[in-house]
Amino acid sequence: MELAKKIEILAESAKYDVSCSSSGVTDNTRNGTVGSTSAAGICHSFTSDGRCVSLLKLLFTNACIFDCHYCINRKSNTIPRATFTPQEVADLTMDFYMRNYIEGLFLSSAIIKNVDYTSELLIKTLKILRYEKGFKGYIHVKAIPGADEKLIEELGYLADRMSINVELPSRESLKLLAPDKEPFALYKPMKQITQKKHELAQVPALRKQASFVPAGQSTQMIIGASPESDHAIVKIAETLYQKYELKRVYYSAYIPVNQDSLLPAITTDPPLLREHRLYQADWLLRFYRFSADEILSEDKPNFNLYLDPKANWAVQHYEQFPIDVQTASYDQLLRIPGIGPKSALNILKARKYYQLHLSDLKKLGVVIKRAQYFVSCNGARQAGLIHDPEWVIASLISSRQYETLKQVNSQSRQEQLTLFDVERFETTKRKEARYAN
Amino acid sequence: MQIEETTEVWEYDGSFHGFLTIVYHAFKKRQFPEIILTPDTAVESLFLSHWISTDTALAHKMYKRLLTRLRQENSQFIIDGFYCSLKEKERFLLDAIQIALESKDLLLNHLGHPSILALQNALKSLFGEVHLFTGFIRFEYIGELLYSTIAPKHFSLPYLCPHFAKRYPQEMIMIYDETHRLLGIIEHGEISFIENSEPPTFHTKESEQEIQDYWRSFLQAITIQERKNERAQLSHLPKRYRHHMVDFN
Ligand code: SF4
Repeated sequence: MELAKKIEILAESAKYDVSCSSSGVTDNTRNGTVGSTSAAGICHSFTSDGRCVSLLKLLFTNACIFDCHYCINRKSNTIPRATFTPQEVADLTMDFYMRNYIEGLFLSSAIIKNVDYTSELLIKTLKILRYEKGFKGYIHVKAIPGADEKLIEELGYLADRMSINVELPSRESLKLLAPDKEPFALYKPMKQITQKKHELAQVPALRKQASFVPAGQSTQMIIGASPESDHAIVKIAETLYQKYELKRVYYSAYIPVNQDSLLPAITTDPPLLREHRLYQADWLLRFYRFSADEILSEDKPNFNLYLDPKANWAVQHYEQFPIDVQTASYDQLLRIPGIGPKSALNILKARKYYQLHLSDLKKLGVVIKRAQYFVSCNGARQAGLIHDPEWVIASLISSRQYETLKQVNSQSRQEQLTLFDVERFETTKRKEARYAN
Repeated sequence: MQIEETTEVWEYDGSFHGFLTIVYHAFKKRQFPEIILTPDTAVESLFLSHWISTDTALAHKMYKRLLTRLRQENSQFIIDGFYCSLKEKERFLLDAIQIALESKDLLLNHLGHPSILALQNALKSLFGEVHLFTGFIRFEYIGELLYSTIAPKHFSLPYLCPHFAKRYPQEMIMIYDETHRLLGIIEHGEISFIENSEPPTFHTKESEQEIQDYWRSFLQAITIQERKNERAQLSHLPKRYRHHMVDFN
């Protein structure tokens, strides 16, 4: 098969894999003659859907022996299949890198023959790049769960970042939708990488060759293909950060590709807003010191689609506000909508020397429009605001959203506050959308 | 230092040395002209101007003096400021030098002054452009040589070269800036420039066509049709960069 055709097929199959992030590595630990991994945050192009292109993202093969229901490459689908050779991928990477089209390679693969064989092909590709071509640019590789530990380790020494996709947030869903995958095999390599990194860090002599997965590991979950709640998903992300020290968890709204009775209908829209909310919640976990159970709970397991998770938390805990910026701790400041890690630090610094005034907050980077309902400053509050949670919600969202919200919620005030029967909103919204077109 | 603001119009050749010569005269006479023109801007202007011819020796002297009298951040600010595309930048730069001399303060603390603000905004735009070019430049192989043409708004090329010197430490590279007719040459990490240069004429190889085709098929294949958003694409990758990018052929 012609190379152009292979690219078409195998880039197309890889496109739903998120993670365009080439960031994470700033020091050059790799020996080589071409490239550097220091160039973080460079976009080399933008596709017409507006996404940054920084890596050559490919599937090594899409000829899969597995039959995961949600996957376009599943064995039982009749689609064009293609497989690269290690040499082809290595050459293409170099050709693109030298012309400044890309920052590096993102290589993933379906399972060809068996998991070890697939891993060996990936290793071979990376070896050509690193050893024969002297390439020290960025490489992100998807490890194949279930592959031999030795192979995972070898891959780890060749790549900058490794990821193992959790794919689905629960064992039940995995069993149902990815019957060939062994749910526990997914977490094993994660654990192995974390342990190996620890080991290497502890031996001073080895610390210098820190080129074992130097940019850490990440994972991806498909959202909306299986019935888990947002709470369940956020809980898993929290565990992954804590237990396996993952650098990032990516969430990808499921785009129906297969007609399958176990999955959402092919006409279902991908839950993009939900995906967006998950990323916001993820920020709260990583940078705002929230715990998963604060963001959502068993009895309110789903995101509010109108308010971002932080504002939602604040409104639900309105009794804890206003927080006085003159005396609050860093952690408390981070809880105020409109205040981020940077502005929180600014506040800490500034108030050492001055008595803050409400009018100073803007200069310190606070988004007043959001924060005003939740802050006070030396006891003083912004004048002219009504401090009532319902009013606050109405002010934080657009008036159209608020109208919809009032209509769907029954009129009792209590219910408006507990807010957001998400499913009911979604159905209403969908109905509306139908008339809008 | 008391500086008199005059209504004079000065004109110089637009070079950095020429500008330093202007700085010398302005401070010597303690007079700032109201307008400073270059051959480019003079065409649009009907004012009679007073030509200041570039004196390289004087310029060197002035340069050394600025470097010793100004703090490093401020002299960098002024040098970078000179390389921005900004109307009347010379006049703003005179103000900046005066403020830096008198206050000894960081110029960035004087954003309240319209000249400093204008320069700072132009600097942001210069560095923004440099950053975008690190991604958007496209090279072709001409024999063993990596070659690229760009049309930057600002004098970005000198800021851009170190990045590529590091990225391709063993290559021979040429980048031609059409706007400023400047040719940057990077040879095994060493950077040099030829000013007022004609674009080199080359024939690109057949095999380059093939690789460019691969690149376009890749971009096409990873686009998610369901999320098409050309407005977002346009705001991240403005039209003026696309002209030289094989992505859009
Ligand atoms: S293993 Fe499953 S998810 Fe992966 S490519 Fe094969 S069918 Fe798709």
